[in-house]
Amino acid sequence: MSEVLLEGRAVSKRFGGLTAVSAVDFTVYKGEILGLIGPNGAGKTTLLNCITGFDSLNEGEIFFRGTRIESLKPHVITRMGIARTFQIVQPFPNLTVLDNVTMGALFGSLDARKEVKRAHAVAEEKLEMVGLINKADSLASQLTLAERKRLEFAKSLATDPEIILLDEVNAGLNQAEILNAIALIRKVRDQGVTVLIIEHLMKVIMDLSDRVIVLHHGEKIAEGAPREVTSDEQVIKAYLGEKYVAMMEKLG
Amino acid sequence: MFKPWSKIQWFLMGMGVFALILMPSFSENDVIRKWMDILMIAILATSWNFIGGLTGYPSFAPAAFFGLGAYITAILMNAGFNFFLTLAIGSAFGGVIALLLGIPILRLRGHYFAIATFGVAEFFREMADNLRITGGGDGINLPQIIGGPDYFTRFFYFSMLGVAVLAFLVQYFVTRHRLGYGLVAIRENEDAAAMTGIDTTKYKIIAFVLSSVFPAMAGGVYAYRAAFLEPIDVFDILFSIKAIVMTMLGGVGTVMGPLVGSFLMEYLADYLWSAFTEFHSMLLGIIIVLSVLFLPRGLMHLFQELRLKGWRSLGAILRNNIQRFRV
Ligand SMILES: Nc1ncnc2c1ncn2[C@@H]1O[C@H](COP(=O)(O)OP(=O)(O)O)[C@@H](O)[C@H]1O
Ligand SMILES: [Mg+2]
Repeated sequence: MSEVLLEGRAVSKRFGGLTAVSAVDFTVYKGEILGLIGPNGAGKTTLLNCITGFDSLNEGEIFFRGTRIESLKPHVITRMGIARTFQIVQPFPNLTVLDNVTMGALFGSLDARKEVKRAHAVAEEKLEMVGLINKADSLASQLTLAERKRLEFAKSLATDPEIILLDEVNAGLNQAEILNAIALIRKVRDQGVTVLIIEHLMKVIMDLSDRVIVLHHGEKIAEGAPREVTSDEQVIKAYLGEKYVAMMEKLG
Repeated sequence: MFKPWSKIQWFLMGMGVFALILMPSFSENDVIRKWMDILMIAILATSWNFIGGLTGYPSFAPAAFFGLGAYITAILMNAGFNFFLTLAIGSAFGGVIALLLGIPILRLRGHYFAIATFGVAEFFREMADNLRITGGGDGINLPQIIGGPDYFTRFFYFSMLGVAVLAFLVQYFVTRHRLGYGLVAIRENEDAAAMTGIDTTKYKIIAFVLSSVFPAMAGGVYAYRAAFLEPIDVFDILFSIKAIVMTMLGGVGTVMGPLVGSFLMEYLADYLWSAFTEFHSMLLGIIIVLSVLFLPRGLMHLFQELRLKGWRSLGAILRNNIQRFRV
């Protein structure tokens, strides 16, 4: 766990007067599962948007395998080997599940998967892996939420990534579906893909992550092993603070 | 998505083209002229399909490039160029202009893009109206084709057929390869397309260029045939609207849709005109509205659905389509 894969230095992103991400440093090591947690609005999704080229930074630098990527376009970043899923799933609604995943295989990597036939084969392999192969011919718009999340996952995997960034893949899923997803994420990591996971469910984070980074109001307030971080006083305050304020408001 | 055609499908298509090649040997000039119009609209509809149908960017630009090609053929033929060479130059020029225009206007999405393309056609018309080289508002004459009506009717018919076959083949191969998949991904969800590694800007520009080169060629054929051009005549927004309506009726985003739609609409319009001269436009309008309501994705999609679900489900499919409009 020594080779640095992805690194951010003093990354800041502002929307008007609001600083969504504030001078955040982060490092992702090859082969690890890194958890990214923090209350709602902490800036987690925005940080992913910065890494994947969807938002441009105001300050800071991002390196992927030593190359600066913060001013590159999303499609270039994808082809370099960074894949992501969207918190709000983004399927191609009127295409079949197979064609959805085929897009990733056709365009997502630099090596030659340029033929539709070969891309279909890769897509089938990924659908098998996420357990959606029996839905290959359904339209993406016909899937349940849990299935759509898996589709999103398969689509990202089809781009043949070195690192995959998962934005709340478990939100809205039931207990069995979550266990399924955890197993899948482990499997992906075991195949050599590094994982950065944003997650609300503490149980999932504790189960999966090798390390955890905590964001609060755009700032990094803690970093370390899951147990260390969750016993950190600042982190407890950040999480409890939210609930406390809400409770006080209710009581008037 | 787009399955490669089977041998049978290619055979049937070949037979169709063969019939179109033989048709003039048996037909009167006015029938040939009718088919020339059908082919011309089919070229415009097929071209619109690249940007509007496959990529999902509703464009009113076909009329702009149709007129551009027409004027280039007029100007170059007056300068002594060979007719076919002017078609090649016109389409190449149209492609370059589309590339340059595409870079700014393809940043716009949805309605904004549609309005910008509308503006392009108007801008071109203004140019033709005011430049000396285009003859301004007085229009421009072209050299008369030498030969009798039997000869030139066929000459223009085969020129149009050639462009139509070319446009069709290009569309077929685009949709069966990587490029077509990329365009459809952009239509379906542009952000997700970028995230799967598609260079969306580049692909949109390619689609816009493809949707411009064939109208420019068709415009060149039209110009030589008309022998006289006026700006309001060739930069007529109706060309764009027809292209859109035909494609919608036939099947958006399918290679056969624009052809089927052009054929049906042209004949339907003819029939309505002869049967109900008084209010044929109204009837045509009603048919278009009904088809948009009941067949929002066109006839080809209906056929595909029927093939999957069987003819008995026709009622259910139509009911299902109209329900999209309930609020
Ligand atoms: N495009 C945007 N424009 C303006 N504000 C935004 C935009 N995206 C996110 N924000 C704001 O930035 C903050 C961080 O949001 P986000 O990154 O989505 O948080 P998280 O994913 O941690 O819940 C929030 O206050 C949010 O309202
Ligand atoms: Mg978020």
